[in-house]
Amino acid sequence: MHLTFHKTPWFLGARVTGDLDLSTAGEFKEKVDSEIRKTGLLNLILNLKGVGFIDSTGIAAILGRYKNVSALGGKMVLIDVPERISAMLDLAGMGSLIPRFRDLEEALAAMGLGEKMGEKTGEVRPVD
Amino acid sequence: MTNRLFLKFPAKAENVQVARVAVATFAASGEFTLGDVEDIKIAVQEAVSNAVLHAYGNGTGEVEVEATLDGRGDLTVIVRDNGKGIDDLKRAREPGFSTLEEHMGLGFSFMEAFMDSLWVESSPGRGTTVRMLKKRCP
Repeated sequence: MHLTFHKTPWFLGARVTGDLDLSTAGEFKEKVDSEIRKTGLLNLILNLKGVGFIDSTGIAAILGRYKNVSALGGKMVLIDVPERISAMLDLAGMGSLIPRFRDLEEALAAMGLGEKMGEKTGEVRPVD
Repeated sequence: MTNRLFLKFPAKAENVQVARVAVATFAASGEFTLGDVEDIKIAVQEAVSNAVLHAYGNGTGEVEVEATLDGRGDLTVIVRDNGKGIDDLKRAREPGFSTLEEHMGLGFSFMEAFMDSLWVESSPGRGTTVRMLKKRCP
């Protein structure tokens, strides 16, 4: 599992690649929580495109981050979710809980952040 | 043609991936689609994770995984531990039941969803055996 963060004034982007499972979920939790603490950013956009394998422990870790961010008053969404992982999230009963979007642009528009990003940078930069 | 794979390893988190990849590779030698192999991978991951997380508490113990491809081409996977067993199996199999924090209690639901049949036997103090069947693609 590899995590890369992308910071903007309005949200924290995180891209996960590799396996998000029993052996890596702890590291995932720790790194995301610490980045949220460090940056003070409450809106989290999690890119799952590069996740090759996920299990129930990995799904629970995603849900745990969602609960943390929500408790702090922030929003969390998922983008670029592979079909198989999407089906597992549905099976886990998370169908409507954590919003899923096709890409960053869609997510920003839905979070009301699209215009802000445009104002500041003139373009929407990819989450990496 | 029948074939059999047998693995025995300490109940450690880092061995779960080894077990799922080994069984998936074994299954791929049979007549399963790529999707089936992914299903098998998840089911094995969940069954072995349960053994690693629950069977031995803070102590140590071993997990056995036995995969068999039978004459019909169906795959049976047995995951066995000699740990503390499950007190209330009915409750443990309910979706959303977990004794651990930040876990969702989805292991058995995933095993059921991704395999064709699931049997679980457990008695307190004598361990747990999970048996799962995946039928070859028709």
